[in-house]
Formats: sequence, C-alpha cells, structure tokens
Amino acid sequence: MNRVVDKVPGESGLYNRIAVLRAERDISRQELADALGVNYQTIGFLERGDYGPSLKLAFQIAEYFDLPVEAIFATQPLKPLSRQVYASSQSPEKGNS
Amino acid sequence: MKTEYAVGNIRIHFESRARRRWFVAFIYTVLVAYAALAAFEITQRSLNRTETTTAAWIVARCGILFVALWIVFTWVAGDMRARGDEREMHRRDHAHFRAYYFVGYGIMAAFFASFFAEPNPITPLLPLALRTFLVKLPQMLLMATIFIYITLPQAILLWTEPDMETEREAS
Repeated sequence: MNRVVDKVPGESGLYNRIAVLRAERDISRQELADALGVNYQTIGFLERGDYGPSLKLAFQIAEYFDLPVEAIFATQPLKPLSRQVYASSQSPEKGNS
Repeated sequence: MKTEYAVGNIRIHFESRARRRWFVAFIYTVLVAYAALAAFEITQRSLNRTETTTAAWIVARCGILFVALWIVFTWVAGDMRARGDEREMHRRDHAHFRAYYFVGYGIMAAFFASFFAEPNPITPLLPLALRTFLVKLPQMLLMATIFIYITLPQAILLWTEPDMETEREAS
C-alpha cells in the first residue's frame, strides 16, 4: 500500500516531482522555463532526473510551485503525491478513533 | 542548443543524438581525409609544385577549412561563449574541459616532434619520404591542435547531449 514510485533518478541521482506538479497545474515546459529563466530543454532534463539543479534553481522552482524544496526534490524515491495527501488527511481521524 | 535548422526551404532536425553523432563523424572523416591528402602532398609533392607553393596551397585550404568549420559548428552547437542557463553553461564547461585536455597533448606532441625538424642522429637513417614527413610533422600536429581547439568542444557537446524535445513538444 505504501509503495514508492520506482523510477530511476537519472544521471543526477535526484528524484523530483516537477512533471507531476506541472501536469497538475497545467503548465507547459515552455511556460515553466520562461518563468524560471531557463531553456525549455533544461526543464525536460530536470524532470527526467538527468540534471541536478543548483541550489538557486531548486529554490526558484520551489518558490514557483509554492512548496518546500523537499516536497519537490529528494534523494530517495518519492511517494505518489496523491497518496501522501490522502494519508495526511486520514491521519487525524485515525488518531481520534 | 537549437534543435531545428533551416537551410533555404530545407529543415534539418538535430533532436536525435544519433543524427548529431553522424554529423560529427562526417565532419571528422572529412578532416582526416584532408589531413591524409595534405600529408601525401607534402611527402610526394604530387602536384609538381615547388615546396613553397605546396605549403601555401595547404595553408590556404586550411584557412578556408578553419572558417568553414567554425561557422558550421557555431551554427549547429551554438556560440560556446554565449550566456546560457546553468545547465547549458555546465555542459559547455565540461565540453571545454574535455576538449582542452587533448589540446594540451597536441601541443606536447608538436613540441616533441620538433626534435625531428632539427639536425639529429635518427632522421638521416630514415627513407627520404619519411624524413620529409617528419620535418613537417610539428606543423601538422600544430594544425591538428588548432582544428581540435576550434571544433572539439562543440563536437563533444553535439556528441554527448541526450535526445532532445522540440519546441512544439515543450509548449
């Protein structure tokens, strides 16, 4: 039930949720790239984990999505976002029962 | 790096790494063929010109080749000095680092080869054609080093960049 997303992180060794966040908010790679001031190809490389961003770019991405950096990037495989959200919404009820 | 180029009405796509590698292989094959031709001309004087004319002819062709290669590689790989985003800068730095490693070896090889251009105990024992070749070897190695200096960073970039997406796919 608590299975993680088994995705190879690419050359960077970093897992990220950029593609999921982008799809969720209906943002194209070009739009995200324009907002961050990078090439659209860089967004593709970031999503595939082929490029590890600098600390500055990682914070820019976090700021853009209004999320903490650790919610977007991780060195360990990330759990599916929907499952994490559902689990956190269920946990207070479990605690009460 | 741009992935689509236009020559008149013809559109050339370079998203595929395999295609970029074919392009680099083709350019270097032409260069090697040219180097072999130049070496042949030097040793055999096949054009029946004087040595000065042959050298001038080779240098003139080299100049044309330098300019042509510089234009083609800058056009395809982009201006290596232009400011890009952090990933592009990182890739270019890496390409320059790897390319200039070879430039250093080229200069060292030219330096050691210059030994054969001076009077020495080894060359008089060798056949005339080989002797002529060895006398010209330092210049040839320096010429090869200049070619590497001009083309190799871009070639490494073209060779190593993974498959890319088009602008249409990104938007």
